[in-house]
Amino acid sequence: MLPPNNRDDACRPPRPPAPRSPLAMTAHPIAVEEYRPEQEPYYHPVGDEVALFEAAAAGHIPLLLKGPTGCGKTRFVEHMAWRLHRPLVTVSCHDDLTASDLVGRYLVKGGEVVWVDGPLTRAVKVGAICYLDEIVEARKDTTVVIHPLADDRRYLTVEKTGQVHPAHPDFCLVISYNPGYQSALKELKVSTRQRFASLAFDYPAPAVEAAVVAHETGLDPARCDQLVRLAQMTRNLKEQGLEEGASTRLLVHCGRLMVAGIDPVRACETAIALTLTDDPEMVAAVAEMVAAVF
Amino acid sequence: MMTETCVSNLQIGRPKAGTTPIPYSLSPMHWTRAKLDDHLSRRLEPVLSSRRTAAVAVEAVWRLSIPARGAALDLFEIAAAANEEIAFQFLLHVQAAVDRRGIQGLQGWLLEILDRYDRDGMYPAIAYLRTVGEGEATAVGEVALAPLAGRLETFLAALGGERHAIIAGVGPTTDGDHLILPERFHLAPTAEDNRTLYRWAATLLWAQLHRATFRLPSGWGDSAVDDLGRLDHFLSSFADPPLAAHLYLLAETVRLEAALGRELPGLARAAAAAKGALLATDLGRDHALLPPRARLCASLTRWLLGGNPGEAATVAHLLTPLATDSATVAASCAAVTACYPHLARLPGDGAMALPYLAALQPKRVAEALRRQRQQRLARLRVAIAHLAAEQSIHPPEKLAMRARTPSPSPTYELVAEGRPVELSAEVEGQLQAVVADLGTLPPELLAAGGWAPGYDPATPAGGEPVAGAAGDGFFYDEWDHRRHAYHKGWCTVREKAPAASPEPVAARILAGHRGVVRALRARFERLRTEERTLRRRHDGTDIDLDAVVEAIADARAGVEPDNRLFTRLQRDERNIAVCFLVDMSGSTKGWINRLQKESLVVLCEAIEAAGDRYAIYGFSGMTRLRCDLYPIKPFSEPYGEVVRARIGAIEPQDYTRMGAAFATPASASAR
Repeated sequence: MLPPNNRDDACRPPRPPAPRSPLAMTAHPIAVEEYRPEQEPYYHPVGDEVALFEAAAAGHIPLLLKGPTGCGKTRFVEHMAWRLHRPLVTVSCHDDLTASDLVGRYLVKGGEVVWVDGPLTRAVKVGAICYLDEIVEARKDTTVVIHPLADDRRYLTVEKTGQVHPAHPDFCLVISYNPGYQSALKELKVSTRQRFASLAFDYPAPAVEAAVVAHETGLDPARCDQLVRLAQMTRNLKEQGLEEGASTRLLVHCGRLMVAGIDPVRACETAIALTLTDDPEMVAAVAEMVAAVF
Repeated sequence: MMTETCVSNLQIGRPKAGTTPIPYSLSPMHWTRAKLDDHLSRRLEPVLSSRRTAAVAVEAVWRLSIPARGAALDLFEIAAAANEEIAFQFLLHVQAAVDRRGIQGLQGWLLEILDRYDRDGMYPAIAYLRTVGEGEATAVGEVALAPLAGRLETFLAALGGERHAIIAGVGPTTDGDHLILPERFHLAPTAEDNRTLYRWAATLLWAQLHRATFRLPSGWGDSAVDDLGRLDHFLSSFADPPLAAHLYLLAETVRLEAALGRELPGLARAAAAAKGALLATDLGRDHALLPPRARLCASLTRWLLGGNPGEAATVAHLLTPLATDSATVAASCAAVTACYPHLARLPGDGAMALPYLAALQPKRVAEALRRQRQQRLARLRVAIAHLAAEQSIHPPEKLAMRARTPSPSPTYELVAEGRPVELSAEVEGQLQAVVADLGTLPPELLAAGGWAPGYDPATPAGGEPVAGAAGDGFFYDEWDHRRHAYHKGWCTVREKAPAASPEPVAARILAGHRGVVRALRARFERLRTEERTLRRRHDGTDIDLDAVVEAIADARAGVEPDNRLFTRLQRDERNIAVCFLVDMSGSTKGWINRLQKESLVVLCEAIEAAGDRYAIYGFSGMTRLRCDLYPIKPFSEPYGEVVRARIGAIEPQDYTRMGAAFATPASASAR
């Protein structure tokens, strides 16, 4: 007799393969500047952003991407790296990020002191796209190191080694931030801001968003429409109890749970309601929306 | 007086509505009857006369159990502080309330009465108060609106559009501003089904307002009137307008229920189940004895609930196409025209009673929607005028509107010379709301006329007092310590442009307090971002040479070396925003006012040294309807001559009302 687990599995539909990360094919870690998306990362253009990015990259104009969380900024950059055949160096900025974390530092190796380039320096040298995610989170003194790279000088000064690195012709600087989180306390310095061309992102139109969710999850289109409708409802509650509505990324997570056989209501509760808020009243309100939509 | 509020880590904004239980005092419950008579006679004096004495109230209280007496007399004081007549009526009905709600429920009952008093006045409040004893004990499965209203409002806000308040009244219907639902619902046998029907009715009312029930396209009704006035004309064009109105409500309900069924299948499923439960009640029965028209109406109701239409099959057949995806409000009008003769020829005047929706109020709704439309336009006009001034778009005709995203749900943006203009979230919302309502942006908003010489953007379009010189007023709840609850939307706060003093007041103050300023600056400068190097870290910006030398020596000596070899620059960044609220009421006249100015100037100098973010607001006002707030230095404005001149011009004004003044800048800075 089969153990109970196996019997259950026999009855269930086969689980879909887990989504493949672009790094899945490499079994071992690689240097940060060697990473380049091998396969085309799925991105559904909503306007002329692809052409704008290509023009900016060709014209050595750094780009600022702004938009709510989970609306596709990072995916867009991955897609452009693949499109332009350039390595992609991503740095997620945080409030403890120092200039050394970007530029490089001395390390001690076997009694010797050796200099190790930081991700920004490596990107400058190899001509990668350097993507500084959530740039406003970084300390203000840190953001200043990108200034000479972001204007027509295009070089990086490394004070500690006393060197100046001219940027590779393919080097491209992209920063992103979410204006929704900004308060008077955290703003991009004007001097930083004015070095960039800006691309505004938002959640895509419902039909496009449903297509994105369907592509990313394999969920049937009717369910995707319902997920998008639910997301719009939560977005209508922004600043009326919710800090932010459900992002496209959350919908994708929710869709994957559903494809794996989780009941839609439970999947939405796990991936959306409880993720969006801790307030029991709002969790209950979102749960009611879920019940209404599904 | 100056009040300092640190806002960075606090969750401040509109105060949350809520109540706290009142700690009942113990002494009144042991009063003698004579003492009670004396007390009530004194307290109720304004509403008593030679014929109307306190005796009846005393009798009512005396009949209460002793614990109930204590609670009732405490709550009586709260009611009397608001209105003596309400307090009097409260005592007369308190026994019924205790019977129905228990002693614990008394406070909630009084708050409901006082909310109504705040909103609608004394008579509606008393009318509500008197209903407490009506009906027998709670019917089986009955649900009350009060505990559901908040969640329902949130649900409807999520569906989109402007937020509508849900109020209790004769309904379910809408007046264009509010959704009016009955206080209690006991249509279906179970509480769960009644809750679903509440939700379904509220969603249908929302859909009436947002899916064009009250906005007929041209070709229906009188084309000479605007889209909002046509429904009334259309219904009046029938020989029996109430019958036409009932039919229109039925047709629209069929159309909207089908539309909601496509958008919210989960809710529609639950509603269908609840309607099925209704079919099992009296509503599902065939009433052979009714007059023919009423019988047909009852059959139609049965059909709407999912039952067999029976003899109403012909009419039902005419209404069925309204459930399709493509049906519009024009189709509803056509269906009414087609169905009307089938009912009009039957004798009797049977009203089409839909169990969970009451009659439409086309005139009232049209008035409200027209007013909202004018207010929206006025607000947008002010916003665009400010925008043009701020972004130096001259002449404003350069502005144009274009679709940002394509149909079917287009959003629009403003462009100046082909480039999109950056809009604040507020203006953006107003723009989309106007376009959603009118389908386009009225050209006068973007044309030269809007900025003609002498044009004052603050003057509203429709004569509605919507905008002051510095934008709209904000409504804030205010805590009433006696009620232990908030007055809803009680205070109106308006931002007023502060005056600027031509005199160099600040310069004089600075000259007079040079020493204090220098000392304070030095002290505050020490608070600035501190940098210190932390040694012997696992990870850091630089190598700690001492540690490395030591580690190498240890390794050579065969001792396990310490691997903490780095130094790290620690920066203790200050993350503080301070808002100073300056009392500008009349009582500050004289030395307090002088001291306020001096301390503000000195303080600004000092905080500038610390580099913290700060704002200064002055407040004063007259009664709850005029709480004035003077933004002397908003967070976004740098300290300079202008701010100094405004500080110099701080003068005592009227009264002090602090609560609302606290809430406004706090919510502004939290944003």
